[in-house]
Amino acid sequence: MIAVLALIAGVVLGVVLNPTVPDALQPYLPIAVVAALDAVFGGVRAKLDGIFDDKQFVISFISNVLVAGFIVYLGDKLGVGVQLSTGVVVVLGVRIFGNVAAIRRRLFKA
Amino acid sequence: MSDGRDREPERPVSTPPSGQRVWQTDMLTDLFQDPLDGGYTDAARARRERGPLPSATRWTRRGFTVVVCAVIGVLLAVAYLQVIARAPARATTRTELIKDINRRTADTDKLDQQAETLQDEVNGLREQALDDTAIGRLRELEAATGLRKVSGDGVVVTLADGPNAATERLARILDLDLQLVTNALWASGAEAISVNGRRLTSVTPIRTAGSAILIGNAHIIGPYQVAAIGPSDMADRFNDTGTADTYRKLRDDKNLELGFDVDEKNDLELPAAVMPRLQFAHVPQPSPAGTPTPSTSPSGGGK
Repeated sequence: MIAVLALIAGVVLGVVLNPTVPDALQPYLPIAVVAALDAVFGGVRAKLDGIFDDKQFVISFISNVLVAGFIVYLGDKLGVGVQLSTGVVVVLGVRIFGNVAAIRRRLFKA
Repeated sequence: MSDGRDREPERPVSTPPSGQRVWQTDMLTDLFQDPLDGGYTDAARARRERGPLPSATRWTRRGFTVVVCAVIGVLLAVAYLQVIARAPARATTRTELIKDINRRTADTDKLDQQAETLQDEVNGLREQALDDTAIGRLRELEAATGLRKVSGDGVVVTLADGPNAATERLARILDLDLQLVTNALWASGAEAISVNGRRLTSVTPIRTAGSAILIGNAHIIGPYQVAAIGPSDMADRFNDTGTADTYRKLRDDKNLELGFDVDEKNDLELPAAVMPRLQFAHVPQPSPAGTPTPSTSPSGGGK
């Protein structure tokens, strides 16, 4: 519950402050969002499974964002930025999808 | 957190009680079958074995979670705002480009008209300076080379892409098709030809640039109307050519269904071609001093 409130507070904060993202970081923003969504859905599922762990959640978020960002950065330097971004999105997308499916099964028993 | 109802989901990955995780070789199967981070189950087991952590540690970690949630919220909001902020810029660029194109097209039309007016003026002035036989000859030559507007009876050959031109490459009209048809028309006695209102001269290329067909420098789009003025038997002669035969076959081909029509038309009017840049003719150099130069020298040089 606190987590949801914090999430909403974060959204409001982001809208109110409307910080300008430096140009160098802009390509990483969408990937960071996808990585963050993966961590969020993983956390929600763990919560519903009754095995949520704060440390695991925090670390998985930070590492997800950093690794995803690093892969995109590496891809840019190697000239395969688009392809590697696609790879990251596919892998994280599969995980998000699987976790959402698990959440759905738990909530609706279907 | 409900420590009481820890349930471990069935995991295909074998996890020995020692806590040592054994990584399955097939990472993709693992990813699809159980997308949850293995850390959660491990942490749950550790908690069960060691008992709950001291509450101070628990609350610190809970604090981190709250901070991370807030960060994720900010991230979502910022990413959303970024996308929103960039959309109008793209739309603006697009409209600007469209406006630019329209303006340039209008400019070109205006310049075309200006060129036509000036050409008329030049023709008038030239006719004042020349005698009747010279004018007659000039007119004939200009009509033949495409530099003068001509009217008369003739045929209009219409070529069009087949219905499945988007997928079938052969169902598309190419520059080659227009070249073949115009050549056949010339061979059938045509005296003047225009394609989609663009008059051909003896040096007007019909070619492809990208996916568009160019007549000279003007690009045209289908259906292509090749209008030719010529003798009354031109249509029959054209229909007898191998080219016309080939295109009739292509029209009747069930896969291609190219558009191909030959119509006899009266009172066709073909516009003058855009004056081609002179490649070999040039303004005569002023003659050496003392020699009288003809007063008809276009540049008036030496006078």
